[in-house]
Amino acid sequence: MNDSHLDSERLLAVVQGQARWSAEEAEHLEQCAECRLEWNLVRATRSLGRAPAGRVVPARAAATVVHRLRTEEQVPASVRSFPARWLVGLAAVAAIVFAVLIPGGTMPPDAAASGNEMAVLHELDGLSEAELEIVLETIPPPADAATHVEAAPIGELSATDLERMLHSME
Amino acid sequence: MRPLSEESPRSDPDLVDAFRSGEESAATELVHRHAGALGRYLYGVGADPADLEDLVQETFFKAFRALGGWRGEATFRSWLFRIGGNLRKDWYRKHGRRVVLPIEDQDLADSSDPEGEAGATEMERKLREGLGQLPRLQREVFLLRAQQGLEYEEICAALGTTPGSARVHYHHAVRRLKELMK
Repeated sequence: MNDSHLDSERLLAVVQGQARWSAEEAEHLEQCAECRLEWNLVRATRSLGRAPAGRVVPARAAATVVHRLRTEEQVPASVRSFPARWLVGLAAVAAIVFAVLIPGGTMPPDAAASGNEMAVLHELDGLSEAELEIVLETIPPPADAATHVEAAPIGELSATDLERMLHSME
Repeated sequence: MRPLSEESPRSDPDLVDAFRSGEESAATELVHRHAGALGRYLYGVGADPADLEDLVQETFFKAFRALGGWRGEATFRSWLFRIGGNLRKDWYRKHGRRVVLPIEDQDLADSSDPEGEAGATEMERKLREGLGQLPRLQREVFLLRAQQGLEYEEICAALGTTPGSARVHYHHAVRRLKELMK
């Protein structure tokens, strides 16, 4: 207690249950309106928001947060400490997109039709604009646009090539 | 080996480490441990009671996603409050709504003492209105100290200020709130 009023830190210690009033302090508090006002202020603050915050159900909040962490895990965050894994994922996406987009790519038509490319698209869906830009940058432009345009006409394809093409369209 | 029930609860840093190692239940335990205090703090800094649950969930989600940035300079709880405080500010800026300061009767503490309840109601109403008139840093320092019981060192780690400044903000806040509550 200073010359005239109770110390603010002392009020906090008592309201937080870390100390008790001495007889002298209790008497002062009873007589001093200024100290009583501060005492009432810190007491009210200590209990402020109990009722509305009591409506926040921790179990429900925890379940929601954990669910979101699971389902949104695939979106890479700059803060995450797994940049290598993220880059490997992006490289894999880029490689598959490259194989699908480039004419004459090595991916067999039956593999392309097996649904694997759907997984790639799902993964792309989870990427942000910036990440999609990175993926795009890793994809080389078509080797030669003319190659696609001037691809061999169907009449010149072998029987095996035609069979593969028909299979991929099914 | 001691029975499970006698084991002392794991510390926050232990739970954070466990979560980083992939133990999902550690996140659940941290939410259980801090959701109530976080909700009270967010309410104190002006969050609408109707938004509290969403704000609490969003704060935890952001915190877990950003755990790589937590180095333990501040306690997990004070770090959480900092994220929550920033989120609340952005939330109302984004939603174009002013913080609702007047409180409804159902938001006030329950009491079996009607006379005491009326006094608490009036006090809490004035307090929340007064808090709404304080500058942000004064309000947050005051709440972290008086409502949450944080030490000044923790407060300055959470709010990015110095212990000396935090003390000054606290005393300014007390003085202004006392004036407003007279």
